[in-house]
Amino acid sequence: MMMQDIDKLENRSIYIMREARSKFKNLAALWSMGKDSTAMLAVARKAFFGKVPFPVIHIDNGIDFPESYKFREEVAKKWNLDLIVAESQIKKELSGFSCCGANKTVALKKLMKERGFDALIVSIRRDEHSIRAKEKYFSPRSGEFKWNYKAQPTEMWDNYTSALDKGSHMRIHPLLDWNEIDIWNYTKREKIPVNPLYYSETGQRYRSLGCTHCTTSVKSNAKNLDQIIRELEGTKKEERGGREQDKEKEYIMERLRSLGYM
Amino acid sequence: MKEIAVTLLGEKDHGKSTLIGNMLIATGSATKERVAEAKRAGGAGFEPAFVLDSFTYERKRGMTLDTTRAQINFKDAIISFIDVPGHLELINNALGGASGAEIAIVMVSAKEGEGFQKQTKRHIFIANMLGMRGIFIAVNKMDALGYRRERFDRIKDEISGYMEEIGFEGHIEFIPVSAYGNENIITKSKKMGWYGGGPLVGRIYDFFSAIGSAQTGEGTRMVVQDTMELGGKDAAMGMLYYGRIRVGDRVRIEPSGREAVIGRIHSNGKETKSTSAVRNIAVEFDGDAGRLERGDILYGKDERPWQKGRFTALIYMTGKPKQGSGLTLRFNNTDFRANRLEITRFSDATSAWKESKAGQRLKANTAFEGEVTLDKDPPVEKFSKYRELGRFSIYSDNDFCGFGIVR
Repeated sequence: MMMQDIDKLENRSIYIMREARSKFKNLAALWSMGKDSTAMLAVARKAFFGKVPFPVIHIDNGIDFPESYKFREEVAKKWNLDLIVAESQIKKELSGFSCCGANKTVALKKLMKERGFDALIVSIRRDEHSIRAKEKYFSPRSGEFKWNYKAQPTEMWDNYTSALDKGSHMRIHPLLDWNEIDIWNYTKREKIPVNPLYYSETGQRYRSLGCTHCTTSVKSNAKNLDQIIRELEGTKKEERGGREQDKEKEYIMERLRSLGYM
Repeated sequence: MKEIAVTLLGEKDHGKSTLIGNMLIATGSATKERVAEAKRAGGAGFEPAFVLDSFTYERKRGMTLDTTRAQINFKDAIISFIDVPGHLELINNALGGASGAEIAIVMVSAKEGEGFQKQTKRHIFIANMLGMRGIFIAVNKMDALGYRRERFDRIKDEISGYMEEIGFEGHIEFIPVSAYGNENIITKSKKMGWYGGGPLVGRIYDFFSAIGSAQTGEGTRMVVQDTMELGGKDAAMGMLYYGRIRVGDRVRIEPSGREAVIGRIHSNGKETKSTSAVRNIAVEFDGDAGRLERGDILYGKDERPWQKGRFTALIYMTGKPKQGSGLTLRFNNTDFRANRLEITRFSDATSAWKESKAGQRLKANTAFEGEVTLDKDPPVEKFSKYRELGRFSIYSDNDFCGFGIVR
């Protein structure tokens, strides 16, 4: 796995987040308590003098792991986060595509409307998925949360678009350039809190965290950050292999994203 | 670890996505699942390009819609390949991708009826404007010609002539390849004994290793991005693109030209006495530095900007400006309006520059040289010296329609 220069990555992410704060009146960030969005918050603290200057949203469908809820409370307190929990109703019969679409996205739409957020920081990375590899740093979504991937704005050099049609919002992707292993190197260097689900307990750990319905663990003996990093250096397996919505054809991710999924 | 960013350029269907897709598969850089997914989706019509072209739309049409990035490890380097669409209608997407690279691979199909096309010429013209430090012409589909030399030589002559015509002064190399068959990409092909040079990726690696990363400008340049109140005073946040800043330094704030003394520096989340480029930092001033604004640039106290608000530029238009809406030039995410543009030369970007007549208007897919006057007087620098301070995107009514560089 490609290990990049994390100082360079951090600088670029700081640039993107400062740009977002400067360009949008009502900015918020999504936080899943996973490794990426937690690392994003750590970068934000560096960019804004020790504080995360925007609300942090957890879309809670009530079926996240107990470890995640505990982690949420600990980190929110430690970093003094302005945490918003957006509760979504879970329908037991749904899974994969319909679940993520119906539950998470609907709850987020409702919250965005209520609070009037015009931009949302989302911690996706290009190397996670070949559809995400096509994303931009500043990527508009319509009022219906649609991603018009056939007509994305041009990002030449570091010039992003900030123009929004009425009712639409901007997705900001400060971690787009990072690879999975970079996140872990950074987490280690910066001593960022880690959701314990990433560590192996009985020969299994999570590489990518969703909720309890869709995420499965992978075989691993990595019990700490060094061991995770070593494991990733040698892997040829896909990070989101334990994710239901990615398992079938690529177009599921494409459909989910075009409907507003993260 | 070296990090090398390489853009693929060239006419559609000359093999850009195939080259990267096949290379990812051959080097084991794409995960098994990703390759399996692309194979499943493609069925009998599977193409290596599907590893990159992930949208259903792209796979159905066998084309690249938007830019993407894929990385391989090569020796002690990570090489990031940026794939871009070749279609003329998608040139904006291609520019977004190409602008992130220092090196370009231009794919030219050697096949009869394909060859050195108008769009290839245009991409080379643009690569030249973007200041690519090296252009590697990959003469592709050599397998279709039985790996024979003649057509390679002919294409090489044609392109060399064109490079001279448009005044390209950078590094150029020609390499015969088969993207589909992985010949002369990672390892040297045994099928083209007549070619004395190395394989494509190795040549790029050697070239980059010899020149190192570009950082040409001297002195100090920090572009102010935003301000934030800290302890009752405004701190200026932004990119230190060039030089070093120390506590106690006297700096000059352009365009106003007033001076201020650096009181505190925040760099990567820590307070420090001194920091150097390239970094996104924040500074506080001793005493009253006055109001700072987005787009202000901090210089060393004895330094001066190359120009302010008025300069000679090379611009490339991908679209026609909308009637009555004028042009917006975006430098480092800060917008200025162009009040005047006096065009002196133009080119259709497939042939040499021509003198322009009076009343020359802007049109799509054409390059222009001229004198720009902005509505304000921001400091600008020569692109050849301080890249980040001498380049801009052009918008008309919020729509991207071109780019430019300061001469």
